[in-house]
Amino acid sequence: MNPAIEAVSISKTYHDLVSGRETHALDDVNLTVMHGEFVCLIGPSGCGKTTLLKIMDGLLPSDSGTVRVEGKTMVGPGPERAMVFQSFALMPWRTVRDNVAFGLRLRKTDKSATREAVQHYIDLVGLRSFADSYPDQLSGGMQQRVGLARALAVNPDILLMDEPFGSLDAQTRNLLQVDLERIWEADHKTCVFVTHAMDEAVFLSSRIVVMSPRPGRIHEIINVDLPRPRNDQTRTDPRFVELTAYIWDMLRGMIVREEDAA
Amino acid sequence: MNTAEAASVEPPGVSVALTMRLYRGLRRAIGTNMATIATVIGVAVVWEVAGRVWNFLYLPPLSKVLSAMWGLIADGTVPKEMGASLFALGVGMAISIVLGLGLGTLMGVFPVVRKTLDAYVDAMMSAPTVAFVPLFILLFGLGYPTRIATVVLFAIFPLIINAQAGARAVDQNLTEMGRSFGAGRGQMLRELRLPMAYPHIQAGLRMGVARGVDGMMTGEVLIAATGLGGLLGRFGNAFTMDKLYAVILILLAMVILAERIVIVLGWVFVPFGRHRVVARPGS
Repeated sequence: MNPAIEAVSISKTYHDLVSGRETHALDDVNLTVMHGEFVCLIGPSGCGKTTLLKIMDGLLPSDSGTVRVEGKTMVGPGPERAMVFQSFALMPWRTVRDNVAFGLRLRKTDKSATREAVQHYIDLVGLRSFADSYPDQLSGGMQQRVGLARALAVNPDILLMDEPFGSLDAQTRNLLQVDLERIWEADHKTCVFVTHAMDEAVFLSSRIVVMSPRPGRIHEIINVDLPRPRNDQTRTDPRFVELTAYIWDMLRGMIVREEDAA
Repeated sequence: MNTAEAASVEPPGVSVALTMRLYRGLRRAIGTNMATIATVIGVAVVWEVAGRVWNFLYLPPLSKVLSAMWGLIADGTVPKEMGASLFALGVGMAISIVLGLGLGTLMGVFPVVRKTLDAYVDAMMSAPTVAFVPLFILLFGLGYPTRIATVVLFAIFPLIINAQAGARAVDQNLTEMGRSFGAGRGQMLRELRLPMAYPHIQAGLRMGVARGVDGMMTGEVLIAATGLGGLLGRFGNAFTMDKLYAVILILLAMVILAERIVIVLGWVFVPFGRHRVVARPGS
């Protein structure tokens, strides 16, 4: 197995121009994600998990270090990577169909191929009956299904997801996790998934990268040995419960220290 | 509605889609707002009754006004003067739209331009623009140039201000998404920036057109010789009140129609005209 995407000694500091304060978001972070791996980044807020993901997508520059995609140093967003956003980032003036087609439209893919791919991914995420609706006619969960279909439609090798289910209620989130698992099982695309939900990380991941804040560093990497395909029964598996509790213990330690420091 | 079935049929051809949009646009333009229709009928009835009961010079009954209007249209007076007015309005609006959207966009994009022009635009937006018309008459005479200049002076500032707001209406979540998917400069503009700006531009067009009609009238009344404004002066001075009201009604209809036309053209021809929501707050 080859690495699909590697972050090599990435550091990033944010400077607040108004207060002059510096936030050490990432400090010498190294992460290698193999082909077909589903890796979750988890950690308390301020641990730089979203920053790391955006650097890997090329949306943010790092202060030092490099990101390598398929062994080649990457300079910006590329067609082999696609991102799913926490804010959904859908165009409110376009229908579901046209939102999903966005990436293909930018790449000037021919019309009938686009139409076919768009329909395929709309069906895959279960939005067949809403293909001609507008985003504001959909629930939050359905909107993020559109975001997922839009990312899948460009057929990327690597899927980057920034707390995609973070703003959804717990029930919707469970449903979407199961659907994402089903979609992922079909072709085992390389996934990097940022979350703050312990159970979500355990449910989806092959490996969980636990990060600690100020400065953002990788604290521990956990292999998740739960059998696949995973489904709602997985949530009652003793191992699932154990791993979730283990991660919570670790995170609680960090959060309590932060609270004390504050 | 069975959406599942609708989704499975072949996408309609361009002409069918355009016809559908035209149809939906017209239906929305006409609207089904019962309250509005009721108000219009109510006012008409009160006007007619009051006019008949009081028999007062300054308030001829609506029926007399409408028959005077028909007379003015049939004998060619209104069409001739209206043609002249609409010509001035059309040319003035074209100049205002091109210059206004251009300048507004520049002000939105470049802070230097904004800082240079902001004070003047703000001042002119609220200044009594009518004060400039005598100056225009001195400069350009009594013909079309003065009337066109008046339309521009009235219409251009809301266009500038709204185009500027549009150029600055940027949803960071969407532009980041565009960058992630590899949008180039032109694609960013066409796919994201322009649709985000459109609601503001549309608001500017509506205000601009309404004020343009205002400017057209103001110019004509002050020049007092031509166009619908000229008719107003003529009928007012002659105390032919039914004809005066007829022209006023025609003017009101023109303003409403002009504004509606702007909106409907947006629905029909701007692919992102349907949804006027711009930004959705990111969480």
